[in-house]
Amino acid sequence: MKLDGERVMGVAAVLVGLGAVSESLRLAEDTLTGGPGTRFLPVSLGLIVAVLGGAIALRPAPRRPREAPASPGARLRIAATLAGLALYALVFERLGFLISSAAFVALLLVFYGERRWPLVLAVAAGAAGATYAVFARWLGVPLPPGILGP
Amino acid sequence: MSDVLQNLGMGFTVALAPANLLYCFVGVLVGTVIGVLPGIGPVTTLAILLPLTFGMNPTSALIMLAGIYYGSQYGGSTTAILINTPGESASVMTCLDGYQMARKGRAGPALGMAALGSFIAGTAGVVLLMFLARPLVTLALSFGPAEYFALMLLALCTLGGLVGESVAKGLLMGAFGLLLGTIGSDPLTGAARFTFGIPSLLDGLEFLPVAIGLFAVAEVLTTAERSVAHQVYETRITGLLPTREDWWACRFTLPRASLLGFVVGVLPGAGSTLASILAYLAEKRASRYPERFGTGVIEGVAAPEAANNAASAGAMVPLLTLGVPGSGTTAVMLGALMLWGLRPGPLLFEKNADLVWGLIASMYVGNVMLLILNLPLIGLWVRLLQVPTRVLLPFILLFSFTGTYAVSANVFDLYVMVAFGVVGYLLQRYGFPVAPIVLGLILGPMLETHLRRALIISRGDWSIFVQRPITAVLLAAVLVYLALPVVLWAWRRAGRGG
Repeated sequence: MKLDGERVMGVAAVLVGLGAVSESLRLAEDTLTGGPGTRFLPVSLGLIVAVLGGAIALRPAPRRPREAPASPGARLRIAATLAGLALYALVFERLGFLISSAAFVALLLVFYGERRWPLVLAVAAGAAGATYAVFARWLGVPLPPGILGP
Repeated sequence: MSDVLQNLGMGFTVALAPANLLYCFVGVLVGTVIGVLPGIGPVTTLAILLPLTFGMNPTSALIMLAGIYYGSQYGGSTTAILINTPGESASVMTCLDGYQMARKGRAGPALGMAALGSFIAGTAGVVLLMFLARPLVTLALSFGPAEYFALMLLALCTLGGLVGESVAKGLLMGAFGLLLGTIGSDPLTGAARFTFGIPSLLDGLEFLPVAIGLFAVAEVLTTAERSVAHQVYETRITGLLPTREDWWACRFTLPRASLLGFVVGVLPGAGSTLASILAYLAEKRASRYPERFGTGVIEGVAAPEAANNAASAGAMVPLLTLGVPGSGTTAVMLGALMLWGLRPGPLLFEKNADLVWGLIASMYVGNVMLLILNLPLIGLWVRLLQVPTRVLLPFILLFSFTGTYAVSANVFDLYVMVAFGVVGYLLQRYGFPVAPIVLGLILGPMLETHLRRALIISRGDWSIFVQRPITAVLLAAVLVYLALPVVLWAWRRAGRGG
């Protein structure tokens, strides 16, 4: 039995299901309501998730063609996108919406292969500015001012 | 009948108000654009744009969101016909004959039939929705907690089973969604579950960051993996109107596909993609020349395009009358209704009649707008295909981030969104459907409340679920649905052995 991505996801589901069961069993079973209590549904669902995950992990043969491994370029793009997302979330409130958003868009444009720098800067500034106008000015959403704030 | 017409009249008063006309126009315009752009579907767009609607009147907001939904069905055909790439999944079947027609120099009539067929079927679907809604609402008003529990379970099972490549994967995702729905305070006792000391989790996992992560962020990651290079399309399209022969060839196709599409759309879990596939196959079977399907016959364009539009009207039936969505897109719309403080279900027709009938009337208006938008502006839609993917992806992420933050002003939701983006990307990569997760997350707390209320009423007696015929039939359908794949598997195995 070869360990492919689908089986790994099945194993992950088993772990999630069993984890949910174990965590739910710590809850007191409140039966004041006359029917099943607080832990009934999480325990049942945890077991269902674990059983279905196990069935997928142990299935006899893959039903779908094996997914092609990502090319080095694709892996780099995904890693860059994820790193960009994580960084953006981290600095979103500290640097403020306008600076962090413009930097995020510029970073992704460069990672995705755009090398015309004036275009990168214009698109990044334009995207951040337009989004700010829609959310903060039009809808009145308080977006974090960060270092541009008072 | 007069009741329906009176309500429709009220609906048109709402839909034709200048502000609602504007939102309807914005909805169908955005829907067409995202339908044209490959890689971003209606459910992603609804999730991203949902935060924009919070300051709006719920009626206007729902009119706009519905416009995005059915508008995307129109737009999706453009790329299918011109570059053999479906703008969204419901247009997959349109590629088969549409692209072949384009190669033969008949792109114009193919695009014209797609738009006109969509208009006819979309309008027919709205008429059916109007007449089917009232009897269903009357039935649903007699539902108690046991009936609702059974109905939600059936919706989850059918959606889980139909959208994925295997029933086990779909059901696993539905159960996972329900499990996520149990995070936070117990709806009846208030006890904290799976909160791990994080205060933001006490109110449960917010629906929007999860939906945006699973749909939008995951879609960006999947697209980034494939390629960010883009194909520039250059062509001239002339003569958009189908010929008299084309219309004659489709004289039965359009009514047949409209009816089939609507029925499939009403069923939980089926949705417009399955409707278009079934309509294409039905048309091929009914045709006198099935061997020519796939070589560029007009019926091969009309059938899937009519079916997917009728299905989007059909999908509104369970959402509006029962408060139970049947697809990822309508699940997001249900989430929207709840975020606006409305209670979806049969009472919506009584307490918010202007909203429901305004929406139904706006779908007529929107279909006319789409026809006007689609035919003369086809050149503009073609030019949209030249927007580079590498520019589009950062925009989607920027809007996703801002929208998620706008709802709660809580950075924790951003982390949730990114985490579910990664989860969604991995799930999609290995063939696990993500729509049942969102449906499970939304229905989870309601399903649990109905289950436990039913058992409180019966003092813990589980036979309450088989005492009334409706509940018994719904649960029997769930059992048949779950047992059928196992029985079929055992039967095939016995057949091979014998």
